[in-house]
Amino acid sequence: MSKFTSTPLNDTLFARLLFDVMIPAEIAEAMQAQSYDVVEARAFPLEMQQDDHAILEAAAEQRRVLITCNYSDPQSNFCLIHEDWRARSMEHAGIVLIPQYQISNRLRRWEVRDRLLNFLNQHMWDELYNQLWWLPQG
Amino acid sequence: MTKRSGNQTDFARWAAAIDSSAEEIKAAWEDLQRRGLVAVKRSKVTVSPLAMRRATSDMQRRLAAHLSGYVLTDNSYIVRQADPPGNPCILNTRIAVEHIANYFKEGWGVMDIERDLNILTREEIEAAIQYYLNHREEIERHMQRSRELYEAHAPKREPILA
Repeated sequence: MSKFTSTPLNDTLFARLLFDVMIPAEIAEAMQAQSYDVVEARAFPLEMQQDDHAILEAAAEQRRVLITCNYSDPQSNFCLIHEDWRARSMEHAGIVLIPQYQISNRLRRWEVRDRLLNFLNQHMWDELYNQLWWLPQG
Repeated sequence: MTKRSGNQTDFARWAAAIDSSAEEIKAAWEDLQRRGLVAVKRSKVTVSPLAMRRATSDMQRRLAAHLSGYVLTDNSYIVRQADPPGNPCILNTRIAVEHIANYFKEGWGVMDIERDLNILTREEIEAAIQYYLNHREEIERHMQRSRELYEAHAPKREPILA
């Protein structure tokens, strides 16, 4: 826990989450089952689902950490967007990058879920705030 | 929000971009317009975010994608974002062909993928698989890049700031 963690955000020290559209619903549901406050981008209007910037804006507005697999598209990815936001002094609640090639494997996806859960259990919302994180490898 | 695309209707220019005839483009435009999926407002062409999904023909889908600013591929369900060109993804979504290829290579069936990524239709998933099979080298390169990026940046044990 960081030295700045003194006030719970929305009654909890733990991050609230926004799952991007390419992440299977069962991962989001598994986090929800562990008492995490979860929203899925699939529930957003279609025009928002299509736009990386709109997704991050929604996450920032709702103070949710964005969980996404988009880190490698040369045209638009959340590493680039994070740098852009930082350059413009804009803040978001945090971004966690997870490997899509692992969640498309039936067995490894549960390992990813466990790694994500461990990561979020060990890092309070304020440690994640405005930072870009890569989900630790297994 | 609607996507803006250039000034007024220019069927000949759009036809050249889509590699079609102006008559076919005009017919596709008129049907999309009749259904409220495209319009001209204040001399600007606007395209509904639903236009690509609700297109009833290959030509309408290609026209809607072109007017929305996407770079077309040889598959009408698969596009790239432009400037700089992005990785191929399924029309109307941010789901890359590479993502579907990962499922495909793991032995997932179309129905299982559809259940896992329930914003996609069966046609879209099949189109992504077809695109992968027709452009295996390119997509494999993207998959390899994603793997390398993750392995290069993600910490082995303790998380670190990116």
